[in-house]
Amino acid sequence: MKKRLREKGAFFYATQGAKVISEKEMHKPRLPGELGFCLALLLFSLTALYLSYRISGLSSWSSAGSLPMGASLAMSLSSLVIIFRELSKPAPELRLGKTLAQSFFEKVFPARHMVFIFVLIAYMFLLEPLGFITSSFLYLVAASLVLGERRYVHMIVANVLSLAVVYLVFRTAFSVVLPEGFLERMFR
Amino acid sequence: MNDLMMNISYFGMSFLDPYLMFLTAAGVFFGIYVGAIPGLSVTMAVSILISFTFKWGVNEALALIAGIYYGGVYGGSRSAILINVPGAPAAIASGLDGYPLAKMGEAGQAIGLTTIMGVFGGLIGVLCLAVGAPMLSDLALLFAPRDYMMLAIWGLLLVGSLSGGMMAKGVFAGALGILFGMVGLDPLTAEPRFTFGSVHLTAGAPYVAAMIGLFGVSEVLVQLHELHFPTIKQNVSKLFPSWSLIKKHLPLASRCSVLGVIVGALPGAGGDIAALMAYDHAKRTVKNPERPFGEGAWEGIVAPESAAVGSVGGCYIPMLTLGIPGDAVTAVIIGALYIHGLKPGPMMLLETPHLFWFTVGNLILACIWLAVFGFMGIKLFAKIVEIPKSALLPMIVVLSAVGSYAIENNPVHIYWMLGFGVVGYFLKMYGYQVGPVILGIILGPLLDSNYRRAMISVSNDPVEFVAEFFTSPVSAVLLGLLVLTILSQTRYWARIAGLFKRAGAEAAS
Repeated sequence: MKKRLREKGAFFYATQGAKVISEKEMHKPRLPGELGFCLALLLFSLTALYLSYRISGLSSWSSAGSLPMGASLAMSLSSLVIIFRELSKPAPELRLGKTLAQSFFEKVFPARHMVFIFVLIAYMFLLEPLGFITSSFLYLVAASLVLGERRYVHMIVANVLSLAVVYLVFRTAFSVVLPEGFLERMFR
Repeated sequence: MNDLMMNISYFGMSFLDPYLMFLTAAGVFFGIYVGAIPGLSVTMAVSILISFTFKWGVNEALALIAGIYYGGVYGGSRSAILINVPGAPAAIASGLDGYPLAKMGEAGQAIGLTTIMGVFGGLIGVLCLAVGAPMLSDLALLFAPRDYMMLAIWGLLLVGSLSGGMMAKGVFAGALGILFGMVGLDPLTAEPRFTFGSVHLTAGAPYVAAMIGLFGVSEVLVQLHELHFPTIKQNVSKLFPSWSLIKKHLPLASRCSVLGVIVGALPGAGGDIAALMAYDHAKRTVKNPERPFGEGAWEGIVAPESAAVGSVGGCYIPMLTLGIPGDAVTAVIIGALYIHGLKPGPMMLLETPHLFWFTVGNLILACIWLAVFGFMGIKLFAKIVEIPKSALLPMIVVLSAVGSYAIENNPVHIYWMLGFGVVGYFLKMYGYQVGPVILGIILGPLLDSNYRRAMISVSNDPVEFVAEFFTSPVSAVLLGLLVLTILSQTRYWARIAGLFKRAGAEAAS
């Protein structure tokens, strides 16, 4: 296959390169949860199709709902094609004694991701009450810990310095209004 | 004559204003590192910066963004050569021969040569922009709404199909973007679409938050899988390549720059595809390289680098003349122009020629800075590229969150960012691309208004609507291109190509 690619020209490479990859992908097993995700996308597309129909119905070819209906129709059809293709791939490889769900949380959405997102959500909610500097500092420390940083002093110094730079750049160069907490009020 | 003088003065603006000069330089410098650090992308940087720069004047914002764009496209190849980790997709091709060169102890010369050829390609790109855009803009005035509609669809199909993966997934991602672009009040009839009774949503989906989520947060989540990458340090000694080496490769660099401009000017295809195609071109046309390709051929770094940097100028052409993004970065830049109240399109060159000539001058300035910074700070560079991801990724999240917040000083945008980030993560994990989503968000409203204008102009008669695609010459050409693109994705293409080949062989014999 690679040799064939080399012989054909650049246009072939550009237009067919993608297809060659997908042909190779055909023999790769699905990732755990892939089929479920594609089904969820189909469901989402069909809901969008219904909602688009509700905008103005089939009243006219140029109604407000026409392009939304077209887009969600394209989404529904392409999801169907994708699901069809996914079904022709081998089922996900599961390690001995693991269920599909276990292997999903191992390969696609590991615990580290969940904790990382959880810390991010906490940061979002603390940003306004605590102010930019405090909440960002807490977030940076927590997130570095989640990512396995164990050189504590090094990490705290680096975080304080980079936050200071970011804060100064935001305030001076970009004049961005940042959420203010007690620390920011002290500096003002 | 007066016009000419005015245009020249706009052209020189960024050279004469020290602040603009500084911003462009800062952009290039910053962009080289953004491009070089694996895990940071130009699209990410530009999307985050949009929300910070929207209080600036448009010239300042454009100068910074142009610098980052050039620096980022160029910077990726540095880490590809030095540590064998392409910092950006456009640098994958440069690494194929760049890293073997570095292993032979020629990293310095390789970087020097990529810098010179990149700057050369970049200047050709800007030249093509300066010449091509006014021409295309004149042509674009002939375009009817249905032609814009087809251009938008073509761009979406190209970005979905050319950058790898399954065509159906590209179509899905593009259509999803269009759907997001439809949220809000319909501009023609003021009917609410997908607003679910929320006042916030009547102004449209928060697309800057979406961009930051899709390119910032989701990328961070993907990177969490791969926290450590192996790096091998290289010695960098001689930086400036010999004049004979430069002279020898200039013809190839010129060809590849033009190739890059053309690929860049195609709606939806950017530097990464240009670089790969140029590498392929070099492989086929250079008969006797000093060293074979893949083992440190100079041609193997000259071709992709000149094409990738050249494609930047090309990407600006459809963006400024048609309002259609050339790739994901220009889609984000169009978003920035919208925020500044500008509407890229065929009227932009007529109504705001100063902006066009300012951009041309500014891009040239960015190329000059690229030449300066390309030869500087390589020792420091190796250190910065090795920032541990446990420090880098949380920092990107902080910048993304504050960027989303800064749009309207509204925490709701951070929730949007996170939502798009998580959805984008799963899309990426399962082989969907997020580039088409952004293109769809930008192109959706354009597609909507042009489709409906075209439909209304034939008083909602679908038969006449279809007939006009064949009767108008411009539309017929565009339709042909569109059909070719779709056909090339099916298995019939190989069969048709085979038929032509056989016919050609018979004719030759």
